[in-house]
Amino acid sequence: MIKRIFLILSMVMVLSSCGKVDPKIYDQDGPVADGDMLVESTVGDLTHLNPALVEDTSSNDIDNLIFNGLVRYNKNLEIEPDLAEKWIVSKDGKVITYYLRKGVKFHDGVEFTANDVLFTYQVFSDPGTNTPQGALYQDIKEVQIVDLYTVRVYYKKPYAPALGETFSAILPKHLLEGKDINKDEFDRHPIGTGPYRFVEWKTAQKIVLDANPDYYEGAPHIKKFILRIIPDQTTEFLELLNGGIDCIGGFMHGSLTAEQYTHQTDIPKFKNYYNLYKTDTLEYTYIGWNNKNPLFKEKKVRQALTMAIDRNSIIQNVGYGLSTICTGPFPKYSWANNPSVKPWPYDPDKAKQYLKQAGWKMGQDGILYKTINGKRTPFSFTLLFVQGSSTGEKIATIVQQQLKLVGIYVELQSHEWSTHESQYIKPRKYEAFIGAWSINLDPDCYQLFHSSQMGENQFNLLDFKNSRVDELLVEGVRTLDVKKRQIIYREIHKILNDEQPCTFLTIPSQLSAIHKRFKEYEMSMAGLTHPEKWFVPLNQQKYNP
Amino acid sequence: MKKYVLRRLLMMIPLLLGISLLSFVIMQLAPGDPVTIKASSNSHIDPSYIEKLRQSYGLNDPLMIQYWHWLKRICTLDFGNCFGDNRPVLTVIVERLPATFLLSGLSLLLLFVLAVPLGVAAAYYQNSWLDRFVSVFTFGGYSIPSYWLAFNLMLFFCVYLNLLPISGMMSTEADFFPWYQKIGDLMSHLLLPLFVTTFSGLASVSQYARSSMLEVIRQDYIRTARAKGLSETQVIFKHALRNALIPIVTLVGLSLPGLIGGSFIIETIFAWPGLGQLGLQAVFTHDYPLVMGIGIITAFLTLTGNLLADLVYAWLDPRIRYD
Amino acid sequence: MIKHALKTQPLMMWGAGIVALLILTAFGCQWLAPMDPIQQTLNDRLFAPSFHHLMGTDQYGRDVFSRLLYGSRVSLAVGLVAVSIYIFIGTLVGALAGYYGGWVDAVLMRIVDVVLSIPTFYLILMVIAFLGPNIMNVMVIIGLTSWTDVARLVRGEVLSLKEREFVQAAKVIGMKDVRIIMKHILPNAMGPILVVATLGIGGVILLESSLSFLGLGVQPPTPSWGNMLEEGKDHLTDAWWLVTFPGLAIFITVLGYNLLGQGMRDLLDPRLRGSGRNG
Repeated sequence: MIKRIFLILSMVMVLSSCGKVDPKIYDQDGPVADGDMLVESTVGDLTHLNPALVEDTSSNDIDNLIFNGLVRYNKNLEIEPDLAEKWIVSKDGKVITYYLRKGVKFHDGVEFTANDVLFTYQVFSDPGTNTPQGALYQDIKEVQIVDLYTVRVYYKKPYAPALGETFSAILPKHLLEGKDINKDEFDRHPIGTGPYRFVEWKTAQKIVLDANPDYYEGAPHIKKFILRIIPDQTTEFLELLNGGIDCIGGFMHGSLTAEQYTHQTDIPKFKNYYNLYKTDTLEYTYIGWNNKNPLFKEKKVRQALTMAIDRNSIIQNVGYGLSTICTGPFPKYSWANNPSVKPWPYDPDKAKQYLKQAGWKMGQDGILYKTINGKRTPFSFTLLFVQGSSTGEKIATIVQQQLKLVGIYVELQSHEWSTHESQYIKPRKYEAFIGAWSINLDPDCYQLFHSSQMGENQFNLLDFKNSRVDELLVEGVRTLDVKKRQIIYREIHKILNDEQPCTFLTIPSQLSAIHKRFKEYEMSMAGLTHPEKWFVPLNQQKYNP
Repeated sequence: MKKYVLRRLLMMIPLLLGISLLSFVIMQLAPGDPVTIKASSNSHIDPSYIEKLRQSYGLNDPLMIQYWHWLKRICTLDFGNCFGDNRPVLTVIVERLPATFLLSGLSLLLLFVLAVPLGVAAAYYQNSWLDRFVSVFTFGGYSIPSYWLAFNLMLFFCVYLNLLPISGMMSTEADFFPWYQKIGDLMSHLLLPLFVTTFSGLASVSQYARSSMLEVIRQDYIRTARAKGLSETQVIFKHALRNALIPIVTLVGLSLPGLIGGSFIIETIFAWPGLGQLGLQAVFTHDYPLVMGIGIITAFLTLTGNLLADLVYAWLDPRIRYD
Repeated sequence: MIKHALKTQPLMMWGAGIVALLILTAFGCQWLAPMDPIQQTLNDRLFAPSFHHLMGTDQYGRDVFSRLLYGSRVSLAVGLVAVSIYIFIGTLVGALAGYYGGWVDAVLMRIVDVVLSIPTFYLILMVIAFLGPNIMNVMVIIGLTSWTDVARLVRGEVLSLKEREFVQAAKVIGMKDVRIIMKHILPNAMGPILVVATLGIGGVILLESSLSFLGLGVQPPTPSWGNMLEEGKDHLTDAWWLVTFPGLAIFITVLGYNLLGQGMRDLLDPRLRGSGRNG
């Protein structure tokens, strides 16, 4: 037995001793070269690779490598051409004509044409398809093939988010026509037009992609991409230190933990090999106030609550200072973001003043009281958060302490995730809760803030109602001109900041580590842009796939 | 014997019914449903899609009907489709079995190869320093939190010494290896998880072997053998050991749920693509069909395994007669 | 008895010592702990062990030593409550099955088989993941799922005890079943039950730490050794003291309970008492 162990050990040593390189060479730049492989990891196993069925981020990230849409977002969150060379929007905003790129081929060699666009529409709009994106295609009246390279999409009414969010992955008609889209093998062997083509998916182990030599923007320099599935984040980080993976948060949306980013990257094993990046995620956290509850009905009160909460201290205590203050439901670098909106300051004295103006008087027990409907009511409420979420719990504790200083008594309550959602938040049986939301690249937030969206399965969870916002939200969706939309959304941003239907807390950061041998990449909010441009100089290449 | 086997087989039916009921009841403890979870953080999911999902999973039916439908289906080995990737539960589970059997099977083997001699020696030299050493060593293995041990080993052997790969089953570049290197690669990935799972299991097997041996050693026939003037080696190996080892067969049967269920945490930490990792993930994502499927299949395999162990026991021990 | 134990079972005495120490710290932690285990002092983050902080401080500036002491209370509480629950259920089921035999025995033992055939950890995982993790749920659920071994053991004891003369005699004089079980059978089965309970507490402490490691155990800020490990693993490479001390605490405690239980078994079980070569 012992002999055997030694045998194995010596074998392993032989394996691992080859290829030790002085890390200093990774700091050099070098000429663009083909070759090498990128190994990344993700925590969650993937579920679907058929773009119509995808629901989670990891799967979506992989699909972005395999498929192309008609248009895409660039790093400034503007729409740019992808498979459509250009597009023209009719004056009334109801017709979009796409002029398609010629000579683009699917990975199996078949050319991409207008037929595939029509087919993609048919799949996504079919009520039989298990797609979460069906609603986006509801307003389309017809998709018409003008010729092989021209498609016209007719809308029942103008729908601005459609341009950026529909047709984000074009499906091959010749492979899927007549098949059961929900069950077809395509889901595990996808074929698209993107920079990488699918090779293999070993469940719970890895996904292998190869560079697409015929990619229309030029063959990617990195020959192979391997996504390993490593469910534990500590293991993931050790793999990084050990060289088992090349990056976290490169082609994918993975992230180091705040603890790893702030405390464990200052050792040679890390510093010599990896670059660190911090980007905003497309998410924000907030405290939702029940706008129908008499406590939170008044704007003055909600403003006071926001001023009584020190968001900087939350950022410091909960996320090691890595997240940023959030002022509204738009990404900071989006054109929809209103630069004149400044976050409310942390000002407990002013908060007290506001509360006084709203009729709340300090009682002898240090808690505010007000007579509501003839009853003397203390300002106390229950703040809900999801059990097992340490972030939620930490935020809640801080909020509880800080609101106590202005005379508001907060009780904390946590429930298991699905209970939290289905018994409290969805039926609006809550007073306040700590929430998180992921935002889309298009600024449309009709579902979140329009007063028609207060049904149990709808997403205006705050039961927020403001007639001007209602108007603007509809207008924002019906206007296709970006300049005009900008004015609309900036006004929405301003009103939301004034109304504080919820207290916007923080935007968490994506914390990436990428091996230094990779050059020419850009990290952006829109996710990965131009993976085909990444390269490793010849003298720094590690693998020879 | 035939009658006994048949009776045992029939007995499995109510057991399986009970198991199915138990899993179903546990599922019903869950508040809300997975569809809500799916839909709660994406505004582009429209309510009609949620309703559609609910209907397709049959979540709107009354409980008894849901159970009845489910029971009917599992009789034909149809456990439904996973909520996650919409593939048949059985396919997903079967896909994970090889990895789990490899890790747990080897671990079980190693466990008996190491623990039984330890236990027997401890019994033979009862209350000596050897006995004490075995106790401390095996209980030590049991008492170390396995995930803690795993991370420490990873840090030491992988990060500091750079001797072993950290996680997964194969290296990323293993596809280009010749077969013998592939086996070496697999072994090097197996080493740490195998060590951790085996070390933590030593105590129960060696203690069992120890008690069993202690009991046998003071039986009359051992005394007789000694009195007959047989050499000590003969007494121990020919008479005592053989009888002491028979009950250990049942222990194999009892170890089966652990073997089949895999080690949930260890598989997850080492990114080992086995059933344990799947089970943990299914529970955390509230993938009901998968959770229930894993429960039932594990139980089924365990029952079968127990039956086999009992049969082997009966075959080994001529004193036991069944009718 | 104690003298004999000391001589033949030194390991058991070690175990007893560890357990005694644990109980003392659990009860005395508010006097022993130099600092508040929950109050965060962010300026004191991640200090290495020193004279002032014997085991260093964690990511919130809390004294690890104090948290460890308070954690012993949680571990002990979870262990005691969970084990009491499953000893109670197991004894009840085992006694009924063993005493009445027949269909009662058949049904109860089939239930035992059902529970036994699903890995206990998986069973616990399912229930806690669905009901939500908190200290009460953890204790109760471990208790409700881990009783099968006790039931089998007690059944075996009862089966052999009920044939003994004093039980038969009690039956003849018309004593009620409940009384016979309570007065004559269970007290005589107490030894093995106590052994199982002792070993069980170690097992539960380990189980709680595993659950905490998955975020399903005792919830922070209440310190338990398991959730200290869970929080500490985020600092695996930069603050070794965060994982080392709680890990050692679990290790030593569980080992202590096992050595104690094992020694008790050897002492109590006549079949195992000194019969080897050196016996």
